[in-house]
Amino acid sequence: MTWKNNYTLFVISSLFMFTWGACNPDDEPIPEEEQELITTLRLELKPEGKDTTLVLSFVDIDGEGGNDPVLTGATLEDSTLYSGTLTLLNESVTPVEDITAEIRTEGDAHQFFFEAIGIELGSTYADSDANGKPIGLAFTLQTFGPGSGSLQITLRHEPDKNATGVEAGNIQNAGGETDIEVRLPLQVQ
Amino acid sequence: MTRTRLDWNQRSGISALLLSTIAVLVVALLPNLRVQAQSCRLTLSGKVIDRSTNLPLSYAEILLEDQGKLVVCDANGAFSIQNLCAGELHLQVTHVGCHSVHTYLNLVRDTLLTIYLAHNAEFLNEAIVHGEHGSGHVHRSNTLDEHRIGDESQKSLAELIESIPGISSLKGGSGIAKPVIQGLYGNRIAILNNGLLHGGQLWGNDHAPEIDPFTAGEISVVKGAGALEYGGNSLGGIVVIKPNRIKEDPNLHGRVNYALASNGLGHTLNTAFEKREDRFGWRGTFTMKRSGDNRAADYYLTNTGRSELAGSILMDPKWGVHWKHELYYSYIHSRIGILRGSHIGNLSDLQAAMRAEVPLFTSNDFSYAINEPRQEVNHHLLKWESVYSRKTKSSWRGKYGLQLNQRREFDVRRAGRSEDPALSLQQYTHFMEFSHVHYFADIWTYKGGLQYQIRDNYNIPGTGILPLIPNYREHTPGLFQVLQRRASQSLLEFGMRFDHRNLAVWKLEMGPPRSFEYVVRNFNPYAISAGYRYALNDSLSLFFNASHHLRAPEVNELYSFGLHQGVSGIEEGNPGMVPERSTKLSATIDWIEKRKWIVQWGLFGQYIRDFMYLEPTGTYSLTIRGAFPLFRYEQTHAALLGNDLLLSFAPSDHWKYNLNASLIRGFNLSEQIPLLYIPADNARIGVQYAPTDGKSLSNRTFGIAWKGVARQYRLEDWQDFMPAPDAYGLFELNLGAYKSLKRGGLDMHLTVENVLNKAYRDYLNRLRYFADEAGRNFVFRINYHFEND
Repeated sequence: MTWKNNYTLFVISSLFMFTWGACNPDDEPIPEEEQELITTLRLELKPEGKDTTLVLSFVDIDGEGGNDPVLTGATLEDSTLYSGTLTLLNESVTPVEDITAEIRTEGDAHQFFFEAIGIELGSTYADSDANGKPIGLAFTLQTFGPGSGSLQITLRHEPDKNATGVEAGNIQNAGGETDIEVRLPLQVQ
Repeated sequence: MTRTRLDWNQRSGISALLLSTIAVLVVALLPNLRVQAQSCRLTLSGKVIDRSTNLPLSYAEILLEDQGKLVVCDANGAFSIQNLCAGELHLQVTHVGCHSVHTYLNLVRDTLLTIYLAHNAEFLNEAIVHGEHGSGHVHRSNTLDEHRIGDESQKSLAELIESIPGISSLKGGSGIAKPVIQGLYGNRIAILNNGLLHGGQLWGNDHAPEIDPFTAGEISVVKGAGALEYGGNSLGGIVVIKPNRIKEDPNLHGRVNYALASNGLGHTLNTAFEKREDRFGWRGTFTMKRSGDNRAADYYLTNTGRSELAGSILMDPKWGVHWKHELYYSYIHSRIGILRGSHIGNLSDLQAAMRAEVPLFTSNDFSYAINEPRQEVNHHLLKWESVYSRKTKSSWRGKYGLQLNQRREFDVRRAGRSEDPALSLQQYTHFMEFSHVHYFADIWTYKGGLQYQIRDNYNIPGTGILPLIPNYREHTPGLFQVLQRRASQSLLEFGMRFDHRNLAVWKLEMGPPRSFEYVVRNFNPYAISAGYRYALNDSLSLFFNASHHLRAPEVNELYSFGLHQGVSGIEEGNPGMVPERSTKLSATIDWIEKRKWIVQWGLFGQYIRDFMYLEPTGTYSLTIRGAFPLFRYEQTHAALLGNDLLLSFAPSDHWKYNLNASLIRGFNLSEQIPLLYIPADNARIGVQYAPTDGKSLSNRTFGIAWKGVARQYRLEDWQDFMPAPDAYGLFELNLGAYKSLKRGGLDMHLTVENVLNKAYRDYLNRLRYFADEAGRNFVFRINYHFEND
């Protein structure tokens, strides 16, 4: 090949790269579909033997940063056993996306933990993953005496479910990464 | 003696400077006369002369590359090398402030050689030349040459240049390091790769420059007026990476390096070949790196493996009598694992990680696997450059460069989405330059040019995560001028630069619903600089520099928004940022006494008005994942003061002592608190012993070095998540030897890093929250170089 040909080839290829590189971002970008965003945590508490349902929630429609989230608490009755169900949603998209099923499917890689702050509560898991270990989407909550405080709900991704106490709901040795950590205000009367 | 004349102009190819024009004039060379020489009794003698002043260059250094022998000229620039064998000789000639010259000659009889060196426009940035006793190499204190780069080719760019006084590196994991020059880093440091500003994601502290150091013939750090040619953003300095010229030598030259590191079981293979054909010269390089989990003193650093593939090709076709052309292409692909235990969900996780004795997710076994979190990066660079010079007094240069940077970062995610990148950015950078160099009235040099840069940054959709940096495009036309006056003892330099920056951003509006706003911003950054170097006598010279810069805010400082794993918090840009103004004064004293003593002491002070920085707001942003500290870009007035010292003492040819120390202070003046990420005080002491050459092995060296880093105690408790790590000291051992082969040679090295396997953490490493630094490491290297007809 002669030098002239080589040079022409080079010029053509660099022009090609130039135009290729210059064409894409003139158009308005499409907002990224946030697949992993959880905007809403909803906790339904049903007292044993009664037909009422209390709904507690944590809602942060615009996700991380921006506006502050909205928290909704509830007032529980003393010495009562409640059955709890958790629902996780992404409400920033239409139609609203239900993340709960995703957590259930990957149940062996997820576990919820419940801690009472300022009040005395007892919790027990009411569901299990493929290995028979708890997940925590369904659980029970027992109130022990009146007070005012909050319930901290933590979802850990890839916890060590075999570590001491983890199966019983102790977060201390669980490890993993936190996907959810919310505190819902609670009163017990 | 019959005299024939051989004259050729060698122009520094890739590095930007025409002033580095080198004229080698060989007098009394009889290349065609086939005299049967008495073998090995020939003498090569002559003089090294400054091309512009015609004055001899005292103490210039001549390296006989074939034997690895270093010869130093006397005060009058004269040299005489005896007992040479007939045959081919490769010489490298070096002097302070000059580009080194590679020259080749076929020695057939006693020869007288006059070597002309031209001064470099970068002269003011050049530091002093060191004759490395024993190793046969020369090096300048702010420069790493081919040999040094080859010797440590398993390291990253930033780790390599750490040996230059005043330079540290900011790390985000193993192999992820970016340079810190006199306390500044990131957007304030430019990296010039092959005459092009490196086009990558400069903003993130966890983004290392995507450059294979092995493609470089020389890596230097420049801080003076000459640096203005490359862009005004660099308040701290510029890291200049350039390949050597292709030798004027028709023989095929090659290098093959292999390094094996015990820590991480890392393999590094480098090869480089070059040859001058009739109409062009070429050089190709190739690098392969693979390493697994590193090991700290007490545990494996799970998921810190790394793999890298890189290559480059350089050609300089001789096309047109008055023209020089150069075509360069390089590619690098890296996959880098990030410590598994450093991936955290929220602040409580971070606190748990900081409390943990052993990082979370630590495996008991070694592995080469690179899992999430990890980074995957591609970088292409293509450059064409043509220089026209009809007369020796002036020349014109045209340059076009294209870079494509693709960065994908993967996180641990739910529902099989770990396979999808959490961050996927593509950046094109186009660069065009037209410049002119003119010498006049013997002592003046003018250099000026026009440049145009287009940068186009695009988030590739499909990550499922809101991008931290919006899509943007930036047009930057610029103009620079440098004027230099060179007299016999002094050098004066002025430079100025003006840019216009047009930034168009698709800014995300959070909504809901999410939408984009098209924002256009215009800035007019500029820089001026003046430098003066004065040689009081043969051994003592002084250097002063003053500069003023106006740096426009970058896109991350204006518009970043969202969760940034690299800072473990929520980061918010500030669209109201105004450009920052920096004023810097520096002084350096160089003292070389009969080559026994070398002292370089540098002092600097810098005041930055409206210094942009990421400030912890002290408030927490509540999210469903828990609380995250909120960081916002703010401006303050800042000052940096520092000094660095380099001391080298060689009482004999066998012993050499080195001291390298640096002290830097940073102040946030408005708030009366220290600046973040200022390197802690540090010093390095080394002793090297080089015995007399043996029969089969030459250049044998034994070295021991100690590096001490103090605790960065200049920090308020609330400025960081945890107190700065303790002070530490590390020992390093070095053994080296060279074996000469028939048509080449073999260089062998053994280095032991962190000999005592000390567990320590470093303030400039983000992983300090999570894990110790790497423990003991044995690195064995073998470098083979050869030449073929």
